[in-house]
Amino acid sequence: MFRKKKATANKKAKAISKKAEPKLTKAEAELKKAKAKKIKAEPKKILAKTKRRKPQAVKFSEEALKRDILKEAKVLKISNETAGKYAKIVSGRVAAWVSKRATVTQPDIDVQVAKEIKKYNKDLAFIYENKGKII
Amino acid sequence: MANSDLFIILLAGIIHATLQLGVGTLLLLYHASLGKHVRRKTRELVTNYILGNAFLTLVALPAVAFFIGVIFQGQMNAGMLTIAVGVLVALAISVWAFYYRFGKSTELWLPKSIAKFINSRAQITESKTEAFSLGMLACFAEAPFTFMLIIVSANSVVALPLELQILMIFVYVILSILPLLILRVAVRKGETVVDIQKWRLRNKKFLRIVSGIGFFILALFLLAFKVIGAI
Repeated sequence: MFRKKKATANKKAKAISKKAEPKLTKAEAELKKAKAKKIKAEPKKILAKTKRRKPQAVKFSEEALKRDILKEAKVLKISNETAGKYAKIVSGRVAAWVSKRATVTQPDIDVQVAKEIKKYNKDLAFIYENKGKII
Repeated sequence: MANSDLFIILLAGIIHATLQLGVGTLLLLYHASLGKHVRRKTRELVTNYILGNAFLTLVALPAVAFFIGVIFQGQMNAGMLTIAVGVLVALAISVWAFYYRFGKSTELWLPKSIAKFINSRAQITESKTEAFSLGMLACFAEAPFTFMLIIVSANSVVALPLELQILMIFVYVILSILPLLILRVAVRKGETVVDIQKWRLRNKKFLRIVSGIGFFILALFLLAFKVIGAI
């Protein structure tokens, strides 16, 4: 009995809402139908239970790396001249390494920079080894 | 028992000082700022960071003391203090077990997203207001470990006369920001960010043990003087 009552109530509500809706032109009605078809056509997205972290590919820039090395060297009070030399050599080598790879992530670049810069300055290498590991 | 209350506040302040999130975030701020700003600006940002950190503790402690005074009409009862003892022991075990992540770094228990957020905020801090709010953020993020210290200290503050209450609140705040002040003095004297981070890495185990033991001693003290002593 409740189901019948619900069904009739729903029909009445639909009828009222249809009356209350403003009348659409032909074009608007067709647009509405097309939208409704599109929504129906889209497959239902099933949310995965686990979220996978996708590593973000980074556009490598030699100039950006040079600036970064100079900035880190400034923190360690290394002279501009020396820092400039480190930046030039290391960024060149890292650029050569990156050119052999299709994609690289920022942590990959940091590890490679640390490896190259360790030959010249251990403190600077320490900074790159510990990026994102302070807290 | 004024002496036991004073000791509880002092010990809680020292334990708060051994926690590392505030120090780590300040180090990040130094690292980001020294590379792009002049020294004077870095000093201003660091000062505001320390003030932000102190401000939140300075506001939280009297507020909690007020609520304890209103709810319990004085100090907390033995039942609540027993719960506090249990929580302190659990925090001691937590500090020993997972305060630091595994590996050769000073990465903390924080979820990676929060750590990255704090890191990114430290990188882009440009104004005094941002530095102040970063200090408050770091203090707030440490709340899972500091909330019980503040509750226990506030409970002791309630038992003290008014002049001592104000004094001990300030003593607690100063103790909690003491590592930040020491770090600031160290950098001013010429220590680099790398030297300080290496020091933190070398003494990671020691700091973890001291923190855990501190929580444990505080729990035992509360149990002996406030729970069993009150009975």
